[in-house]
Amino acid sequence: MESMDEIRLVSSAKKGNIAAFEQLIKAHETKIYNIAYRMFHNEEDAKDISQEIFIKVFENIEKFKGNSSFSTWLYRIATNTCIDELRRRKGKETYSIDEEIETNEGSMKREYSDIKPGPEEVAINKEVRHQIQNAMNHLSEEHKTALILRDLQGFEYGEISKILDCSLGTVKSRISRARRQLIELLIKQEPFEYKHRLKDRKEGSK
Amino acid sequence: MSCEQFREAMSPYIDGLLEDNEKLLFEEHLKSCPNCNEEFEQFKEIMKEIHSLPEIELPDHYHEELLLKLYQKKEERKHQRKVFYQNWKVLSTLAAGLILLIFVIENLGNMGMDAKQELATEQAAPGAGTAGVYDMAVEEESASNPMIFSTERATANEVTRDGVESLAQENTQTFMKVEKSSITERKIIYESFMSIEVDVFDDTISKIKAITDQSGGYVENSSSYIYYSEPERDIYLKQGSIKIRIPVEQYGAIQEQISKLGHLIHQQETSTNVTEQYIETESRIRMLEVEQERLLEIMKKAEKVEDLIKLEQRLNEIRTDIEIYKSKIKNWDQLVSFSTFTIEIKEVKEVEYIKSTDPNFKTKIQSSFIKSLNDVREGFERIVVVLAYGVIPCTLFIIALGIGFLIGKPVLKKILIKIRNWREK
Repeated sequence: MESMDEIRLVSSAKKGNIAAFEQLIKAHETKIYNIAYRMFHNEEDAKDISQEIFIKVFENIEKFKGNSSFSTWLYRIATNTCIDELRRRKGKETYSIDEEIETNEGSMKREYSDIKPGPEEVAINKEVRHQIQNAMNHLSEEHKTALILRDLQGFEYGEISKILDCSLGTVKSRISRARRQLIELLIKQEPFEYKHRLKDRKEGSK
Repeated sequence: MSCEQFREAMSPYIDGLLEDNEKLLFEEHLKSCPNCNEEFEQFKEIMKEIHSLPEIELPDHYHEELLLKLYQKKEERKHQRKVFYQNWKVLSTLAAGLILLIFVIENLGNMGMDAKQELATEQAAPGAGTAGVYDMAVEEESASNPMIFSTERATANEVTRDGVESLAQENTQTFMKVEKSSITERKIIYESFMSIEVDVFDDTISKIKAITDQSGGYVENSSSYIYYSEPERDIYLKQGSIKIRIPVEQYGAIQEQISKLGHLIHQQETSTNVTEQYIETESRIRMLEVEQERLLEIMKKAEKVEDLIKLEQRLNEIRTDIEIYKSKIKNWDQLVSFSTFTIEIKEVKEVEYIKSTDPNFKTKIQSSFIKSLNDVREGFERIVVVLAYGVIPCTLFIIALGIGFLIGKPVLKKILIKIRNWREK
């Protein structure tokens, strides 16, 4: 929305008007929160980091010159903040109590025992989602970011190249690599179970 | 198209990014290669799963919490800006002081010399010296040492203050203006304590009350008691204190008026800067008010009794806090806009008189002896002065007499001889 409205709101927010800033970010709150959630796979972190992103944007809004649309600039700060934080955490990883443990079969089963009462399909779906999320956590920061923007947030390639400030070719190759890597990881992670389930589901749907 | 190329093309294919000819090649390979076909099916399946990952809803009160954080940030930034602004102000005051210093020194050169000005020169001279040092420092180090830079400026400024206050009227006024402007922006509490000795206690008290009324201030409290009495001679001496609050703009004027009411024995001034605490408290209030608003909004939506009770509790806490902070602000406003004068008054003159009617003999002798000594000394001094004064006219007189005698001597001799001859005849 590169409208006059946006320009007016931005200039008002630059003067410290929080109400104007609120208007600017309102439409993006859920998206930014979701990006952070997919990046960190943890609701607590998602909240903290997404709010940190908005505060950062508010603090630096004077630096926004209007060369791109406000939302592009917002998502650029968001992805950069997430990537920086992910890199910072590497090596000193922390686990919160309710965080899913990667490829640890025992603990995964314990978690899913809670869901068993529900329909079988839902349980399988949930498990598949967890596996996807776990596999995503193994991707490099750049690949993860590209994948989240494209396949989870549905951004166009052109928009992604603006947000990540790189060429369209780079975006294409990053997305392509990220997807292939993800699939490889998924198959490697749970070779039999996953394939079986896929086959079962395929047969079921046919 | 090879299988590897096919794998590479899967991703752009599903996003519809392939050129027409590439697309054709891709679809051909898909039909001809069962392995790749299966892989593509799997790929599509997983992509479908990924695309169906649900969007997570924002946690409760996410937006409210964010707003609160934003308001906090804004306050922080405002505060930082204010601090910067204050620093800037101090610097500009120092600069103004420096300019005044130069002005005063220039003016001093043009003025006559009486005792008061002499004093002022003495005070201003070290200032000039410092300024010189400062100039040199700037030349040599080109402000590479900001610490020395600022302290020297400060000294210069202080000296200026002395110099200015003791004479140049217009300069004093300018300086007052500078100071006044910072009084209104900053939150400074001025307090003054004075102790004076007066002739008539009750008169002084009523004078002080009149001054207070005129200035728009008020008397906070006053107390008095008789500390010396001599009923047989109907002498009762009072002592007491009065505490008045004066609008801060009239602080200087009132202080001067009061010090003229009697003999000033003791004076003490304090100024407390509460600007920082003041701003902090103000922003806390604003923060709490924002939270209060948000909680009230949430309360409208809340349905569970439990939640309502919790919200009510928090609201009560917030309200109490706001009240406390507001009364703090109110108190500061009071203290800042009205400076406090505490004046201790002692009735004394009569006492001195009474004591002198019953003097100590020894003291009397001592003092009269000293007095006579002093008189003698003074007399001698006067003589010496008169003599010193007479040295030149006396010498001139004697010289004139000598010349007259030398010239007149032959004439006199002739006359004497003539007289002698005339007598002999």
